Amino acid sequence: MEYPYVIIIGTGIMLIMAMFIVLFVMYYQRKQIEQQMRVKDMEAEFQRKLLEVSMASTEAERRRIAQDLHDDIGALLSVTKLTFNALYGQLGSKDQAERLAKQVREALDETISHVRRISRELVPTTLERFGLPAALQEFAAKSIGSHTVRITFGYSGDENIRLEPKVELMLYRVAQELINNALKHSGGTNVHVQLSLPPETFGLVVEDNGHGFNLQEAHTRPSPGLGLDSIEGRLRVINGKINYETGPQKGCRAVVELRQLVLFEKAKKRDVEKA
Amino acid sequence: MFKIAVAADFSAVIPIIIMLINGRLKLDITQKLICSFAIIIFLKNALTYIMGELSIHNMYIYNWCNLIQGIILTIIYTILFKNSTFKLFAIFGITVSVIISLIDYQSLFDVATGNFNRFSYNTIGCLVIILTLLYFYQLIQYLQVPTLTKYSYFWFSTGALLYFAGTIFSYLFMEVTFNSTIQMRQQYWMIDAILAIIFNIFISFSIWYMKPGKTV
Repeated sequence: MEYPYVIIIGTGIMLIMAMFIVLFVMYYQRKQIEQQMRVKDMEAEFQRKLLEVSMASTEAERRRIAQDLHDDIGALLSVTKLTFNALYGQLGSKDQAERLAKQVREALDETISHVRRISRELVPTTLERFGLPAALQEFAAKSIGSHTVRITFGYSGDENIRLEPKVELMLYRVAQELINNALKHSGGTNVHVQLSLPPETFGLVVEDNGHGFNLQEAHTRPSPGLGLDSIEGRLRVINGKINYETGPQKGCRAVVELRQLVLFEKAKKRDVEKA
Repeated sequence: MFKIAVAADFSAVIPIIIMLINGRLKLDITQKLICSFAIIIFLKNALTYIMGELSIHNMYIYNWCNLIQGIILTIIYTILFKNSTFKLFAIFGITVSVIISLIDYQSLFDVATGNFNRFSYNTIGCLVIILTLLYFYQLIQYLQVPTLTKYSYFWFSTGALLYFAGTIFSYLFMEVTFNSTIQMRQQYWMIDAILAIIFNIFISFSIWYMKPGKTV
């Protein structure tokens, strides 16, 4: 074969090979990146499931403890109080004995009320029976009692629409954490909780007029921090997200949203009341 | 044929225009080297065009520019390589290429030379092809670039691979192609001109995508 043909054919082959190599690199790289993304997604999904199981077991444990407190210790204390009242009737009028008996009765009353409170806090029965607005309202009202901060609560939308129990519980815990953060760390005087319910949209806002915080700093703060990781973990489980609008001396506004809303049931208020 | 050669000369302006549009971007050392590479091509084309019009010998400028471009390309890939063996290979390769090209020293130091440097085109061509292939290997090995088509060095390497792969055969048989009759030289000069236009367009894309790199 003559030189010119060799050169032209050689050039053509080299160009085709070069183009093939470039296309192969592009194809292979894209496939590998896609595979890497799939693996990452699977890992994230696995982490989410793990978190969900861990939180479910925590809730189950809380429920068991609450049940034990209410049914065993609470009942025992009530029986003890009744027995003591009967015994008190037999004491006669000795002053010393009467004073001691009064003290014991007060201690028993206080213990019973503590057991009830702990039991209620462990499992939010209001949430299960009446839904998120009622439970948050109750929590806000209870929180006022122990703090000087003013807490207000408002909601819009249909309060009878119920979300999945798991979702409601997670949102309740998130709201608890946010309100507690505002009360303990914000240094503000007002905390407002606003709940927007379906059918229009869903949103939970907790805002305060405190000194705010640096979000990046809060994320890197060693334990015990603001529990932001725990909040984000809970929201990941229910496919939700949180945005903080905050900065030093700017207060804090935390907005919780759900990417996908799963309604559980639309129970009429009167049905619940009847029940 | 003449029109394509002129178009190839003027295509070197495109990367310069893109560079001016990108203007104030903060570039790292390799990006600056790619820009210098484009500027050298532009200056070479402008100078050889003017000298050609004035009928002054300009062949030695081509030979020098080929050597300088080879050195710049080697520096670029030496910086881009993560593997120290690849880095050593690039340095060794360019050292050998420079030494070999000095065998035909007349084509470099004789301003009246009418010949291409027989050795430097071959060795530097082969070296650049190997370096770009090694770089592509590195790209698929580390998978740090999410979208290759928006990656500056990918465009540059693709352009370099196509240009040097397409011209390597012409240079390997230089005695038949460029250092022979005028008719023969013009025929192969056309292939070189078309590939030079493609390379300049790819360099333009490379400069266009010179932004702070995203990695995954």
